[in-house]
Amino acid sequence: MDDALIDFNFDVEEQEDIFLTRKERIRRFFKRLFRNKLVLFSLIILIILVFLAIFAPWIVPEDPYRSVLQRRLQAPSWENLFGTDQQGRDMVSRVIMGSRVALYVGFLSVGIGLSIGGLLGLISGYFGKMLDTIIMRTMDVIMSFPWLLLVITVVSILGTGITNAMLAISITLIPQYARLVRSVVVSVREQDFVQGAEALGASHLRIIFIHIAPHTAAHVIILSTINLGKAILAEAGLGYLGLGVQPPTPSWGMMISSGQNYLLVNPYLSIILGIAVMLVVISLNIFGDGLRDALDPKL
Amino acid sequence: MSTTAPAKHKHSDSSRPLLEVTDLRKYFPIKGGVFSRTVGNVKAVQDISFSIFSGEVVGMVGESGSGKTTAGRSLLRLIEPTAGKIVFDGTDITNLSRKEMSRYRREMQIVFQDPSSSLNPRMRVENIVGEALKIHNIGTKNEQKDRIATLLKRVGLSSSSMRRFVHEFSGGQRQRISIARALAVNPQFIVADEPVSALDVSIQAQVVNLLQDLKTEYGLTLLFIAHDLGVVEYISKRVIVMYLGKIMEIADGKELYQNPVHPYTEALLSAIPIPDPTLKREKIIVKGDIPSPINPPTGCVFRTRCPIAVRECAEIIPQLEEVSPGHLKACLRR
Repeated sequence: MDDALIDFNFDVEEQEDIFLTRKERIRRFFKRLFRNKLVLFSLIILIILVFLAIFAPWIVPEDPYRSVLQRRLQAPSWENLFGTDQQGRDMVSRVIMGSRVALYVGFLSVGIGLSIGGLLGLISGYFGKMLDTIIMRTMDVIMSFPWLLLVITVVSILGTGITNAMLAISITLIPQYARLVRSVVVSVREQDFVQGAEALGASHLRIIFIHIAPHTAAHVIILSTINLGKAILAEAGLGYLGLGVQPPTPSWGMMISSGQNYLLVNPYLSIILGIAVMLVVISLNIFGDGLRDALDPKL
Repeated sequence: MSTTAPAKHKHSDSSRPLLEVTDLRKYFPIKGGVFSRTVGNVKAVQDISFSIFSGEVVGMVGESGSGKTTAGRSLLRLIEPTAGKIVFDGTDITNLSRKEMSRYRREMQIVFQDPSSSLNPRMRVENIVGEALKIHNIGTKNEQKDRIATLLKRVGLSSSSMRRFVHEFSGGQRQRISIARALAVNPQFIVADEPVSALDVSIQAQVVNLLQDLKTEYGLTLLFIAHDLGVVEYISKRVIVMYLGKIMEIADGKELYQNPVHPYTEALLSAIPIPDPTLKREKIIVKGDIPSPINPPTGCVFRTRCPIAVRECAEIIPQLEEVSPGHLKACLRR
């Protein structure tokens, strides 16, 4: 029997990581995550953004609703760092307040779309047959609507407002997650380790959530980082059409669209918000990539 | 080595079959057309019957596409059989519900062919091996940990491998993890589905030896599936030869190797390489590929490639008949 024994040749560094405590392993995870400095940078931007959104009312230099008509459409200056809008309101304050709407819509709609769509995808891919057909054809129906039309329909049924806009956007995201997750599940469930788990007597729930769901994580993270950006832009689009946030509440989308009318007089209005949206979306994408790589045990 | 794990002989009684398979059939339907009608069937396993006695190692051989794997997985109800009856340890398990089956899952395990796809790449070795213990609620957390360490040690892996991921191991080591997982619940019966086909020759011997040692130590009953008669000869007491979903011949290992009756068995045996370049022997080469299991030949399924087939082979389906006690064949000509 002893000839069958194979000794491991661990190198010193690896020998250590087996005996790590939980705390040390968490530290190692962050070390892996921040191996790429861009990831760290994007996380800092996101943290600042969340911080601004949460504490917006206490941070803003002045009331974002106070309009001083004498200083309409001014370029950035020391008094108003981002300039002022068509009603003479301070843009710094409005951008900061507007981040609340962006994050609320972005995270919640992606969160709802992901949980419902992901769950449907898992069920559909795992159980297959009739259930799969019913779920996926329903998703096809939702997908076959142009998203804007669907959102307009939902908003006109539920009424305008930020929460309804967010719900409407999340409905358009559900089929995307359902399809993506289903496709991964279908390929993973045919692998032998799933049958192995079945041979051990594992329940459906256990197989779905412990053996199959983790394999969808990488794909879901990537789709979510893309969708977060899209959702923020969608909110902007809805604001533009007057279906989202109602004025005078500041929202990035609405501000971009109203700034557009003054593009020749004061281009900073749209440019600054465009930069803000871009920063958030790029940060989310970079951070998502980093997170995916850090979570993959093979890398 | 027997000190590392308690020897277990649940059923030393070897007169009674532990597993009895009667007319097991698995057809995979082919869907086609507008309304996904069933337009045909892949006849992977066609009405095979055999039994395995307690403590026995039975080899199952046949080339690719002969239905060995399907048969092995159907036995464990990992694939639902189309028809037939499987009796395990006196209980008919063919139609048990998932919940009722769970009890028998502890008694029957499987080791897969390809260890890189049969172990979850996102789980650590300790969770892979310990999963069955968790599912069946065996022991406290610490007892489970001890058991995992013992099992890993028994299959020749150090306890430091517990916290590692599967991709950090070589093929042979992965197959040991796979074996440890199957052993975790102390099963009576293990289906080894081509456990060494994906491994290097040098590693194959180690894994086969390990299985043999474990067999005596734990009193296991094994169904050892392989496409290589050489490996099967070494480990099995009885051998089942399959071709295109049917059993061609069943015999004790020695008898089969010295006295093959079925022309297909002869062909398989003559394909075993002999490490002696001066030795001349008549090679029986089976021409062509295995026919499609969607439209298997009429009569005897082997007739299209058989060197001694005659017209009546196409008309009469040969049944398994006894040649001598314990030696069965399905051939009209022999």
